[in-house]
Amino acid sequence: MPSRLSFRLIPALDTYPRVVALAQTVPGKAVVLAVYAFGLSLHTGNWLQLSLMLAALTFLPRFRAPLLVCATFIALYLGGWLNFDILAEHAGGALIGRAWFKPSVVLVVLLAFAAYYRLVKERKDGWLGKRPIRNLILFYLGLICLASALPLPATLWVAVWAVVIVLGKYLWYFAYALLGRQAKETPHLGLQTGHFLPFWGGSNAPFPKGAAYLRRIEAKTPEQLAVCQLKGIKLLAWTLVLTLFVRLLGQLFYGHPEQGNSFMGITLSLGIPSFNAVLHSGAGQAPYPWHMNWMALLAAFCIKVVAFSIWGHGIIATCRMAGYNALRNTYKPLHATTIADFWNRYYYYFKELLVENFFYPAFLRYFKKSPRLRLFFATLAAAGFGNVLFHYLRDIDVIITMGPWQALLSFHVYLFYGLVLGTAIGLSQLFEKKRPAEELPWLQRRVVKPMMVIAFYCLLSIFDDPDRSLVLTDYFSFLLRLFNIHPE
Amino acid sequence: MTKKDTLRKFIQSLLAEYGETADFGDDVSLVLSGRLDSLAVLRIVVFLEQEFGLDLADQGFDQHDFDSVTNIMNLIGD
Repeated sequence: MPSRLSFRLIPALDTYPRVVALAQTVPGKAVVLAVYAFGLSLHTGNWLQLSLMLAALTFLPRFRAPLLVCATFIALYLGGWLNFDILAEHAGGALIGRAWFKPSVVLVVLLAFAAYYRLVKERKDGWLGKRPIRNLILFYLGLICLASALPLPATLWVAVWAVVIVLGKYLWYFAYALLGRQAKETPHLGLQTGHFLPFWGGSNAPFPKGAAYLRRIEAKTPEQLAVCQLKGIKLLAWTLVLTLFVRLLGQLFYGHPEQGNSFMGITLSLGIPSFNAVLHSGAGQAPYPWHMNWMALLAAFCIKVVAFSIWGHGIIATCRMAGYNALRNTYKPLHATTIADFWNRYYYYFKELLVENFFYPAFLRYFKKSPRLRLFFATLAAAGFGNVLFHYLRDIDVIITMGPWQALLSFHVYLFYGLVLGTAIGLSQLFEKKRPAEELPWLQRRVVKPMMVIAFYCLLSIFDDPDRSLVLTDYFSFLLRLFNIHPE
Repeated sequence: MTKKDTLRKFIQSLLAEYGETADFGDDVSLVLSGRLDSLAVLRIVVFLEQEFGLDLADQGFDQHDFDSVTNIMNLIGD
């Protein structure tokens, strides 16, 4: 008889032999796809196109790689070939409306990278081949500076910035392709384009990493595919549960019953102000009481963690349905017992990107004779410098509007955030105990340490994703208001 | 003692620190299986640098290369 402790909200379908066997048959596959499509329709508006792509990948797994390329480019086409809105209002913006323009820019960028990739592979002992990712990033930064500084004719200006936008979107996918260039059985670059901005979604940070990793986690037998897809269904189910939960939280935290707000008949609301409202309340407005500031901060942090999990789970669930048994992006962050552990659990694929592109290169090169400094510096290079660089380049619209230097200045709050985060994770790696968490007393493992870690990230979240119209002192002013200190 | 014996001895001691005392085969997964974490991989890197003079700076880094004794031996050569 199953014990109460073995209760699972979502059944472990992937461990039931009969279900796994059924999912390998044609009718079983149809059922798996139908169930997933239904779940997906509750999660995203483009569920139909995703479901059709998944159907092709499910019934023709032998052709997974070329089908993935097709699916990714179809998704790109249906999504409007990336967002060029920032350029549309410029004098040369009419170019954006031409049907051939956007796919041409994508093609130019991919072909240019193919040439670079080939050059790097051919000249692996030259300066280009030894540091290809650093060179790529430097080239990208140089291109941004040139595009900003040169007095280009309107049409050329739009064309150059369009290339910058597309290259920026692909930048970290290209970095992974370059990282995997020496790996065994690396697929042809043409097939790797299926993993660049893949149809299952993501951000500028590749989900889940590059082609070498995808090859390792790919389902290679019908049984592996069935297990992988059942895990995808489970993760989507969990995503939907979390979606209900975050809507409930939204009602409880921010609902306005007087305006008729309710969720599933629940009208109860704590009436907590938004984080944005309390943050701005110091500037000429009557400040909120300190306890309301705390409530707003905690509510915003709580919603952010759950919403972020939902976003990542939705992507990985579809990735699993496509036959790649990827780890979740967010995995029980509230169980983290150290600052470094939380970061690993909260945004796994971004952390992996920083580890592979910044941490390892720094660790393998610098301060080899002093182990602690070596580890700390490499961590700071990743969680601090790499993190800030990634987000600075991600906000390309701001760079186009303000220019690279002004954009950097307006980003100073995030620079501070990156410095604190990098230092904290570095110190965490050096000093927090390496003893396995399982060996800690229950209260320490499940309550005390996680609460301390969450308190740190909650406070640090004040500086995360900053409003560029504010300066660092505004954020510190809010930090002080949390403790009922009101600076003049 | 061969390079492989030296390496196996080091990994055995590392595994013991992580509570794994059972014997292990040359092809047993060390990292992807969860037996060792990324910090342990860094300690293997430092060990290889100090013991065998390995320099990975220009070679790039792939955790998969450190996933088993066989993979590590491929990296350092016989």
